[in-house]
Amino acid sequence: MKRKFTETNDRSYGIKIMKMCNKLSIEWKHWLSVNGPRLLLFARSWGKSREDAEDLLQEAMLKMWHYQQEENRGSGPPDLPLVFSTIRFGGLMLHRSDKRRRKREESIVYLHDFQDVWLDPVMEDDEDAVRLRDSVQNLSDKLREVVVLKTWGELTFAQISEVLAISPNTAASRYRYALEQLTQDLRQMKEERHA
Amino acid sequence: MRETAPYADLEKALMGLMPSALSNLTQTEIFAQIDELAGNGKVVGDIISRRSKWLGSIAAALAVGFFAFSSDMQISAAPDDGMDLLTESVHMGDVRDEGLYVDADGLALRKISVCVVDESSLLDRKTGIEVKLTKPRKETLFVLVSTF
Repeated sequence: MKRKFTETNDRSYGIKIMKMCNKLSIEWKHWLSVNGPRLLLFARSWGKSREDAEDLLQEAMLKMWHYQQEENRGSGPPDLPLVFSTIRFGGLMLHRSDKRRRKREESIVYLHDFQDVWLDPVMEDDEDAVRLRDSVQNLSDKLREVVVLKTWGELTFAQISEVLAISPNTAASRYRYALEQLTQDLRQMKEERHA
Repeated sequence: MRETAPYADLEKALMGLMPSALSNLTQTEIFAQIDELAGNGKVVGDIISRRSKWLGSIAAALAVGFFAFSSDMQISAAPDDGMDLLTESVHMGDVRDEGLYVDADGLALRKISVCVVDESSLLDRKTGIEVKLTKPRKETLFVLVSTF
């Protein structure tokens, strides 16, 4: 039985697939380069360390990839609010398992890395920026996540409300309260400096 | 924003803080994951399952035939499109015996349907991404039966 192998057709088909794969890969990498730092910052609220936060982000990226490959989702990079939600969900799961583990390991004392910061001042020698950064890190989780999503995630209060499963009014009032608290902290620090 | 206008300076100061970048290790890992998920090194397309068992000596005979065919295969020159054809091969998938068949000359033949899988790997010289293509197709073969 004579068979004809259509090498030329296979090749053009392969090139078409290759270009599609390349394009998709480049789009996702570019998207991650732009949004990675803000997603990592949000993930820091949930991970005990930078490594935990990066794991959360990586896990969320994997979930997002599969989600975007489903029908009618276009395969391209996802909407930012959805990724924040996915990180938060992963963080909640991690937090639950951490709580269970902590119960088992109550006698162990964890050492914190105090050099590990979440935000970098644009000007390294800007003392006010460093103080502000410390104040943001010291906010309660509920307040800080709204500030992070609003300031660095660039989400609207409506989007934040979806990510955090709260009402837009609650999101707005938490944000306002966080700003009040940061202002007070900074004022107090300045007074201490001048005293 | 009207509600937080009193905090405009503070908001500006917050914007002056930049989120830390991903570590090189994590970024490299995620990029590699994206490449893999996007198709690099993965089989693209459907793969016919190879669940059916080989049909004894008939299948063995067919296999010899196919490997011979594979080695005879000629790769024609294609215009330089930045892609290199790395490997090309033909494999057998499902083999099904569809019973006896008598042709016009009265010869007894066994009708065998075979799923043949053409595989080729292409390399994009620019990005180094490799894609493996798998194209299954169905073939029908007739094998002369000399003993019953």
